[in-house]
Amino acid sequence: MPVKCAILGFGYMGEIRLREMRESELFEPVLVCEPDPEKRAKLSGVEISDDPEQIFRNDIDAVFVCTPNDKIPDFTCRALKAGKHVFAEKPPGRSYQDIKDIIAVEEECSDRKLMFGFNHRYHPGMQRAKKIIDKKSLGRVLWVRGLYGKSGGKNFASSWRNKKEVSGGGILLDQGIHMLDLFNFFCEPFNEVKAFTSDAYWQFELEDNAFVILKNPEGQNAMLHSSATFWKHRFQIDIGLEEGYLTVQGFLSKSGSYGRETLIIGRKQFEDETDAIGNPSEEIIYFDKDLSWQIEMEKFADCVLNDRPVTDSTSAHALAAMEIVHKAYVDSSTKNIDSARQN
Amino acid sequence: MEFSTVFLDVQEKDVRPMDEYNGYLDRLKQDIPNYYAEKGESRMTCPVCNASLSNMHPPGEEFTKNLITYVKCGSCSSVVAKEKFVLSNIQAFFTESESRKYWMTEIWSKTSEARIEKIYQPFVSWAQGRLLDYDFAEALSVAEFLPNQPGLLEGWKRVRSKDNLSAFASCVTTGTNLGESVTIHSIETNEKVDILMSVDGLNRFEDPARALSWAIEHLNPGGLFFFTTTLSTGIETLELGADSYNVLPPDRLFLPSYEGLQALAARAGFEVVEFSTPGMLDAALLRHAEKEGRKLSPTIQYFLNNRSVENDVKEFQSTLQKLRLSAFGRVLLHKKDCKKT
Repeated sequence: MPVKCAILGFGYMGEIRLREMRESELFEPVLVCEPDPEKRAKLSGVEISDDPEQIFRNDIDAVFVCTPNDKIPDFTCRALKAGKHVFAEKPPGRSYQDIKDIIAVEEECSDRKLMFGFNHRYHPGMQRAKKIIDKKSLGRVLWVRGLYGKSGGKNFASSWRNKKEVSGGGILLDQGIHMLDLFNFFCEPFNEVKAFTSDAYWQFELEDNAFVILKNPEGQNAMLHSSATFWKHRFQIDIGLEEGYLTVQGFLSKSGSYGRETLIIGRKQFEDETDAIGNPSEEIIYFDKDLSWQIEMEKFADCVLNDRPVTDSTSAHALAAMEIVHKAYVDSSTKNIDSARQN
Repeated sequence: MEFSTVFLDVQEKDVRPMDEYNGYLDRLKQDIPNYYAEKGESRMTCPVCNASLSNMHPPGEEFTKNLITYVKCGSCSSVVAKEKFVLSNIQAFFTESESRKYWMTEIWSKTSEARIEKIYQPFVSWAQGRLLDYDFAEALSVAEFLPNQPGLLEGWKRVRSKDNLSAFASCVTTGTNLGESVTIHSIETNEKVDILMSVDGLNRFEDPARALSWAIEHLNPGGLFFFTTTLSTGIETLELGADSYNVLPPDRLFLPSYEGLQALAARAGFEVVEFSTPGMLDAALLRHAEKEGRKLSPTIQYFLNNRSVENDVKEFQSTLQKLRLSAFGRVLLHKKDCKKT
């Protein structure tokens, strides 16, 4: 029997979730709640409502919370308390405290499943890289470096993403958090966080660039540049290992604007192995099919239908990513204050 | 469907030392009348895409090399031998002919080290990497298609590896250097395996559709078929046509096109997981052809004459790989849990 679902919010993510539900036998989309009449007008073939309270109805098994950040904690917690399984988009709220509050409710409702939409883990390049890392054929991960950025985009200035009271943060919380989740996916947990942020171009009073440096007790380092001023859409994660390196660049997306997703696999070579030192031959894998949404949602359905514990994109993973964001904001604000004092 | 690009330091001399290779071609001319004179019926349809061969591309295009006539399918652009041959004669050629003996003693002995390092080992590394995506038990059953056997069941050997994949890696690369955990025996007629592997064996089948049907029948559900093949849609073959070095009878009785092979695999019930063309020799072969005075298109001629620095040639080869226009194809097929009907 499929999971009977309500989708709360029919924006970019709500549309994707509905599309995937319709292509899967594991889900039955029952209801979509959306306050915007223009967005509701795009819907058909499913019950439509402007009343979010409808998601708590008895005929709903699971709720997909696809709202702006400020609504995510409240609806996630209330849905769990109402006996619903919940799939919530990232970020899990506007602050570190939000995810801690959600986890407190999750612990009270231990028979319900809660998963977060850290979708990038399920992209083919990341899945393949993870398998290579876990196989240890290239040794231990030494460091990770990520670039993730965009050029703003259509209606960027008026987007809820750039209203602090709604989003809670800028580009780091909106997009950079995906990269931080990937850092956690590939490495041991990070405990030290240093960061600089700026809002030099868009001036939304939210950061449009963030530089974050991380360290963990195992000696792994990571570095992120998250940007809303890249002008050319760009995604790249480099993973340095003892015996080689992996790079995922480009990203399969609806618009295709991040370029073709590729995984580069390089193997370390020294002068006793080759003349081409420092320039090893690389294998480049080109991916054309993005099954990330399907894989992610099937995992959620499997947990719900077979009463399995959630092990991917859990609240703990959400907490770990939000803790880094929180520490980055704290660290960068301290520096900004110091800088202001010096000036 | 995925594809990969791989840059390896393979040179023409690594696989085809000129003096010995010419000796092989001389012997082929003597052997072919003995083994391939007896011809069966003419093909009416393309053995790759099943389209009528009356629809040749361009109409009437056919050519003869070493007494074997090829036609280019107007539908899928595969290049195929026009007539069928007697299977036992093909097998006899590969097992007893002077040219094959010469190949083994003169060419293989001089190129085996480079072939193992630059062709077979990368093939095995590729297969091992791809297996990460599949949940097989530790003890895999693997069968390798032997290139000197033209598609007969006895031509497959089975390797049971208790120690993951390292054992079959050494088996594929050397054929003899097997670990203790590996045993080889002829595969039984009704026996199924998890993995089939074939390095450059497929082009010797007279009937590629039969070969793939046979492959899927001998794979367990979820099994994988890793193979390499020479393609008709590589730039060297597209440029040189009948003069192509890759159209080498009788080693290659058919050269499937990139598109035709995908359709053939789908018809057999396979999912095409990866189809790459990681060849390294297309530019070198075109240069070789130019030196020998073979006819090239003005564009390629201009490129060879004016963009000949090493980096340009590398970029050219890189572009061919990215566009799946190299003649060397690398394919991974997956037998789904249920055979397609």
